[in-house]
Amino acid sequence: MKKNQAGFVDMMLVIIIAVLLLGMCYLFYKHRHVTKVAPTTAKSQSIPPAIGSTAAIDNLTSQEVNNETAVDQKHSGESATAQSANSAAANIGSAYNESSL
Amino acid sequence: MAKINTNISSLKTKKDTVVNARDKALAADQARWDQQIKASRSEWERQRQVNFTKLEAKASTAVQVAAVKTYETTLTNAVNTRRSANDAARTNFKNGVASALADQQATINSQTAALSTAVSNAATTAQASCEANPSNSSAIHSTFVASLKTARESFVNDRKADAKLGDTIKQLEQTRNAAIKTANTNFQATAKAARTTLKNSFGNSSI
Repeated sequence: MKKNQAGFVDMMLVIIIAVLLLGMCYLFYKHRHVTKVAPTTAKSQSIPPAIGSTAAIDNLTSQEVNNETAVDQKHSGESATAQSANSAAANIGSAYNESSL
Repeated sequence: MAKINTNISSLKTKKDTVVNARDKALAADQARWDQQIKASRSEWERQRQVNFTKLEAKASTAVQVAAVKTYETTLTNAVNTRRSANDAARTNFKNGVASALADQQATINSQTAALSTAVSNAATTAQASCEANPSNSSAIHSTFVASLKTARESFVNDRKADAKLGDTIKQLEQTRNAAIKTANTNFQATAKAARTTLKNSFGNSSI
């Protein structure tokens, strides 16, 4: 019995040590493994034209045009604002209900 | 009758309040946008001058110096021409909107006055009929109610028919946008031609 028990314990020890070793190998592999980072492809940044170039001057005037166009687009809200009095005017037509007289 | 007249008057006052608030909102919006454009133009002017100064430093011969000056003058004039044209387009739009709003107000006020007059006339007629024939009160009442109904429905239908303000403003917007687009296109053509002329003066080098 004692001999069997000793053998069993030895076997368990071997298994435990083997599991521990496997675990350590896994952890080692995980840390060691270099995750290949996808090379960040630098976004191709458009290089602004050099100050003093005609291209730079063209950019400025284009920006001015675009900026003013954006402001003009805001004028579209004027239509809704202008018509905001329509309901108030229509309400005058509900000043009385002749059928209740 | 007094209540009807009071209601009409009260609702007209409410309408006037809404109109005043609307006009203030429109004026404030327009002033803000005008200021935005003015501020951005000032900034573009400053940056353009920085670029002009750098560009002038590239000229090494008298011909090139003259060419740069011509380019700057042409471009500046083109910018000013575009700005003037666009400002005129915006002013025309604003004036058109103001005129449309004034027309609508006049129409509403006229329709409201017609409603009040019709109600008053119905009451006067009913009163005179009662005095002339007190025994006919039922028929007189029916006529009175029918008159009030006609007056009210006329007002409601007239308001519905006066729904052209939105279309008017849309048309004004289209006219303004078309004028601005033309001015911008003309400017870009002038700027392109000026750039080409300048490059030729520098022997088509990158400038």
